[in-house]
Amino acid sequence: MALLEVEDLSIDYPRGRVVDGLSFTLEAGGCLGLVGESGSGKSQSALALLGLLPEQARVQGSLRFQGQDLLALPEASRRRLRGSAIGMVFQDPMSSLNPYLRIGSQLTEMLVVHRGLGQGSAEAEALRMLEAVRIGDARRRLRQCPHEFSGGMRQRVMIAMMLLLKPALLIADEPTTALDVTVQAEVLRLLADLRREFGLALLMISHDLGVIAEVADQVLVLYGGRMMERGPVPQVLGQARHPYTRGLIACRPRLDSPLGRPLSAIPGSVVSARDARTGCVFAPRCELARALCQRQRPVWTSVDGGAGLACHAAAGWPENGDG
Amino acid sequence: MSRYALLRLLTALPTLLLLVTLSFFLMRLAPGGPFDGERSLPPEIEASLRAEYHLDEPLPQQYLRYLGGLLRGDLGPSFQYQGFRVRELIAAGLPVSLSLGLLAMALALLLGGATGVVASLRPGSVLDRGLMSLAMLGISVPSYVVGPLLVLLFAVLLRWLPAGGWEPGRWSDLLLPVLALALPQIAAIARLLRGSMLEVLRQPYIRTARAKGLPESRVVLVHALKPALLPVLSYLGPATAGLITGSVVVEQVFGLPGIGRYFVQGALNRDYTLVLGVVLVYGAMIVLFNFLVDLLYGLLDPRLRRA
Amino acid sequence: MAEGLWPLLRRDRGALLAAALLSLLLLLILLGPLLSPYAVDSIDFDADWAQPPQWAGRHWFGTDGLGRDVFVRSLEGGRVSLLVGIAATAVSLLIGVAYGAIAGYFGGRLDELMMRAVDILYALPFLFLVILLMVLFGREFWLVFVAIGAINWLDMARIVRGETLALKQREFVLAARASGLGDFAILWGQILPNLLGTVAVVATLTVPQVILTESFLSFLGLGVQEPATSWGALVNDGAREMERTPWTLLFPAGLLALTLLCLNRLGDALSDALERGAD
Ligand SMILES: Nc1ncnc2c1ncn2[C@@H]1O[C@H](COP(=O)(O)OP(=O)(O)OP(=O)(O)O)[C@@H](O)[C@H]1O
Ligand code: SF4
Ligand SMILES: [Mg+2]
Repeated sequence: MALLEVEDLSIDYPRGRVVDGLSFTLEAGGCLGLVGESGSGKSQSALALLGLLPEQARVQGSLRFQGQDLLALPEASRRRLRGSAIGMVFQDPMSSLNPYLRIGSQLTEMLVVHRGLGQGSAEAEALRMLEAVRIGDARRRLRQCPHEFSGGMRQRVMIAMMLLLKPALLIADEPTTALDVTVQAEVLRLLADLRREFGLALLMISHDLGVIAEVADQVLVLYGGRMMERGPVPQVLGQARHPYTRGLIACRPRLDSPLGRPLSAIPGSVVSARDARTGCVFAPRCELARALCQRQRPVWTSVDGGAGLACHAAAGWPENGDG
Repeated sequence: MSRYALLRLLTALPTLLLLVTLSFFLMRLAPGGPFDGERSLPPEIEASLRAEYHLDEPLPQQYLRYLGGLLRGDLGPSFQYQGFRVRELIAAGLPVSLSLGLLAMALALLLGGATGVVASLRPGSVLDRGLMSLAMLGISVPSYVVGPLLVLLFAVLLRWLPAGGWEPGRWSDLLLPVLALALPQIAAIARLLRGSMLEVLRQPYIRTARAKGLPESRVVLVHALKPALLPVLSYLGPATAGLITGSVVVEQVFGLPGIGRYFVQGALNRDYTLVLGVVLVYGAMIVLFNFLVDLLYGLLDPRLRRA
Repeated sequence: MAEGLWPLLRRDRGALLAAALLSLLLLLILLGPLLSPYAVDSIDFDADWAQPPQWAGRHWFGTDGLGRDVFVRSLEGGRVSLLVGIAATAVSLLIGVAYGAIAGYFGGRLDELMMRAVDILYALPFLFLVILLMVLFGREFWLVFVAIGAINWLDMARIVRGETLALKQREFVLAARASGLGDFAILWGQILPNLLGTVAVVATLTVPQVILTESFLSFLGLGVQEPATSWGALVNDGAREMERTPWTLLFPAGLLALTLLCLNRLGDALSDALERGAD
């Protein structure tokens, strides 16, 4: 039994669908990278896993975590899973910690609320965890408020907070995007180390293929709320078959020039799933697109080596009638 | 922090001085004097009275004399209540006014706070819209309308409570006045807090708190309420001013022997020192409350602590 | 900007209701006295004193302790209250817009000085001074709204200054300046017209405040004097007689509250719309 099995996840708002038919599995201790341009639905999918979407969002499909059907759980049980079995680290460490509360109480409350620990032992654990994420002078740091920390340190505090209860799964939503390049590398290394140390499964969200290549073993490419391609990292990033994945790779900044061109160098502008309900969502920007792509949604096709993708071209134009 | 606090307190002094000065000269510029009541006094007696109260001195000298008295903690003699010092009159009325004002403030904070939080949890719901309509009504109906209506309902029609008056120690006498005084402020605070709660609940750190699996009550009361209280805190200054002006009429409506009645009556009778004394007390209370607000601000907002 | 408000406002049913009610109240206040056979201070010697509301004698709101018709008096009081409200708002608008626009437009030292003064004035419990003013200098009718207007211009000045600061960076102002137009010509021709939307909203919110202040003064017996009357004065009279003639309290108090409610609701909606329009 895999740790997390997502099947046909869709998220609808009154204004339209933002995630459409997402499926993947994540083994215990594994790492799945979720890539895609801004607005492709990465954060929405993550929030759906935690059950933190706004009220008007309607979630369909099946989310099985450690064998339980998350969508069928009552809210109270889902809440108890959050933070204790599934942790989440957000993109912006500046605004994701409460600026009005001391770091210490933001850390210890996890242990007090979930484990019923007393203040003293909770503080001792918090201290240990701060040291595990390599924050020096941790005892004094506990008494400080977030504004006294640098961005990278805040993100490490955030990670420490979410690992306090030794969750089986950590979702990291662009944890390094808001950080300096050198700090980025540090945080990524920390995450990799902690993963090994705690036997943690990681769902790594990023629009940076370099990050994914570094930490993930599986990758899922998302565009307009739909899965484009999915599979083992070496296969998908090494021999990409989907035009969108290839586009991402082609316009990826070179590793030695970190301030390279942004990802959206694929011509055209990003769509969301609600813009295109029929056909392939990538068709407006795809160089290979034909009439069929406008009309008919490509079906999911598995290929050798464990990968899969949704593209008419890669499937050899399975035309029915015209093209 | 204590030096900062002291500094704040000192910078408030010019405001008080300005207030006293303005009031002093405003009153002296007005026609009439304390001794032209119904029966006119023989000129010699009036002259001797004026001399006794130093009213025959030039105005700047009187002003300095008054300030000098203030420095010694002396508010001067009352003209209207002959034989009484202003300090004694205020000391007699202040406990009533203070109880009224502080109770109303506490009620406004508690009830207004609770209403604001509850309304913010389900924005747009029937409950929210109902509470906010009531709050809108609350800010539209001033204390001097609420007061008589409360008396009409609870004293005249239902006969549950006395219509007014005051006996030391009988706290039920304060029930209706406090309610009348507090209602507009309850409404104002509820509206303010609802708005700032909605703002705070949108913040990323609230999403983090939920992602930590905290119970919703803790998310709201610990993570959201503290920052949301900051705007309410800055409203406490104006709220104090509102409560004080409100108390002037509420004391009149309910016949409470506070210092509010001295203010209007004193001005009508040209009881210069009494009015100045009351203005000074009111001004000092506003200054004091603003000062407390500043201190609390420092406690609530860690980013200000070092400044 | 002002044209942009209407579509936003149109969807707010509560605000529309408030506007409709307000128009109705206005109509009633202006035309109502024509419906009644009684005059403001005429005493109906045929009717009993202190008569409860009744249809037959055409004393729809009853009569007061002197036998005067409460319906006519309430509407007359409303006319005075609204008049004071609008006049005092006009005073505060005049001062506030001029002050704020000058401070914002010229900026620099002058702006700093002017806004510092506003800060100091904000800290003063102004209503006390107005009370003193009213008590000491007789109770002249014009003094009521000049005094009230004079304390209510601070908000207007602050908001107008902020808007002006933003406006003077806009191209059309820069263009006007480049074409050699004088400062006051620009203030009058370019800045002022663009302030109208904001000013209208602030004014809408000022009117109920002013009415509140006036009725507060009248309640203390310091505002409008007999034989003239206003809602505050009527509430004061009614409160004194409420055990005998509760209707003399209820009707003017109700009309006052309803008017303020509608004005506040409308002002709220307008400022919401303005805020949303700004994004
Ligand atoms: N509350 C909401 N109501 C309606 N649509 C929403 C809501 N929140 C997000 N969306 C839409 O969902 C789509 C996906 O958003 P999401 O935040 O998941 O993108 P993302 O892939 O995380 O992008 P980024 O890289 O910018 O974080 C977007 O088109 C967005 O407009
Ligand atoms: S289905 Fe057509 S449009 Fe979509 S990616 Fe493949 S070729 Fe391009
Ligand atoms: Mg995102």
